[in-house]
Amino acid sequence: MIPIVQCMGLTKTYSGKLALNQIYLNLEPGKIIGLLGPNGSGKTTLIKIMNDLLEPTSGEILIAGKKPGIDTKYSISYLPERTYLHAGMKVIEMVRYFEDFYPDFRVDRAFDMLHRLQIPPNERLKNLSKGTKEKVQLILVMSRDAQLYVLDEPIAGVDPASRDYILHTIVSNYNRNATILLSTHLISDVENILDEVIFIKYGNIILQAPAEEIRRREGKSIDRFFREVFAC
Amino acid sequence: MLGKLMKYEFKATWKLIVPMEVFMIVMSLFAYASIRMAFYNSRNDLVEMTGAFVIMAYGLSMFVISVITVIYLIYRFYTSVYSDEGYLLHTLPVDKHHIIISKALVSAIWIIINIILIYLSIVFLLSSNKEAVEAIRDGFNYYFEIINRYKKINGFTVIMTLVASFIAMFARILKITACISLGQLSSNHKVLTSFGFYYGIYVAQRIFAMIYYTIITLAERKSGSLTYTTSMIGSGWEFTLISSLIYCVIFYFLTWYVMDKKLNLD
Repeated sequence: MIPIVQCMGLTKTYSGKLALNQIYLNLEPGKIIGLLGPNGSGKTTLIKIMNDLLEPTSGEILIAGKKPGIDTKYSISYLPERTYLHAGMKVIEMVRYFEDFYPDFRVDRAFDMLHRLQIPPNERLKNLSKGTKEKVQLILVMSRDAQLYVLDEPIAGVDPASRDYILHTIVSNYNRNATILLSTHLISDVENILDEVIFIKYGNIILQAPAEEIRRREGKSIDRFFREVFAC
Repeated sequence: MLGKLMKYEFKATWKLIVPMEVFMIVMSLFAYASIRMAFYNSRNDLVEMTGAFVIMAYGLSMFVISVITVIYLIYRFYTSVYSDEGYLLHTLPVDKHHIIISKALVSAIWIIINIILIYLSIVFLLSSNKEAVEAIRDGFNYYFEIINRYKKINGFTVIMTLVASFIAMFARILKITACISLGQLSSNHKVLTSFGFYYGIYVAQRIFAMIYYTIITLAERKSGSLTYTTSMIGSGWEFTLISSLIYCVIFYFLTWYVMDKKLNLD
């Protein structure tokens, strides 16, 4: 089986400062994978390179066997940690926008999620709260039948009461053969849905293992183990 | 995908630009009415003063709307390509060339609409006064007569001048996209760096034009055919067309290079 993501000696430096250091990584299809690390560890840099938003300094990355470009953008559904929607547009206009550009976008799924989260489709994005805007972005991203979902801090901006619902939305709305790569600081909220965990520190992958194996081997939750590994 | 990108670019920009253009048309109607009223009631001071005020407001609105249109298009390029919205634009399955062409073409279309409206508006205003129309017609006739002494003006010259003007405008748009893009190479002062590049490129262009005209003038003086002034009037479009085409290629490449190879969104 071809890995959905392959990194081979992937390195990125910013003005001589090392952000990713010779990363070798394979992500298998059909898994929910947590990309965990403290601030400045290289999570977002790795995600940006996957999405063709950054050029690596050296090394190579392949998405379903292809270099990042137009083809891989058809395969990846990406949720950045930023609010990337045009504030002047209505929710329904954004749905049509995604439908226009992504052939795998499912309009009925988007409207169903908007309805369940009680988000009015005719409301302009600038009139929505930050949390609701993030929900709209998540709905748009999860309404695609992508091969790889890359979610950068998907629950950071929403209230704790909505987090379970959003995680449920993520888990129940993705293609089972697809992979979800989930980057977050809120490990305790997501650890129950993770199949696999990657720890990244100072641009190095220091751990990649199944979530259950870590819990069994360490005898503690991933959240607690993370706090021990990354203790200041 | 180019068509889709253009469709959404129009959708994102028309909400500000179309109301401004409508306002421009309304101001033209007011100015026309004021001139007519002032013409027929020239003994009434109040009517004349109001007319003068409306015409001043009309002139100011033309200028301000043109400036706002250009600034808004620059701002739109920056926010949609290099700010948070860039995360969406650059992860769409579209060619980077299509992104640049769609933005530049939509900007060019809005600017052309703006220019045409201003021209039509001025012609409309002048039509309110027969004497003004005749004076301007005489002025143009005199201007063409002088030029025709040195170089014949025909349909081809007029068309090529229009084509050269369009390419020159496109080069100016691409110069701005290139400067904004080059500004992204700075990690801390992106806007300031963009202004720096704009000024540097402006100076380089002036020097290039000066060298060209100096060489041409020296060559023509040597052959004893034309003076500097007449050569500029008579053969303007060739230089504008060629230099603008060269600038278009350079600025387009710079924009594409940064967008494709050096993209680094905050």
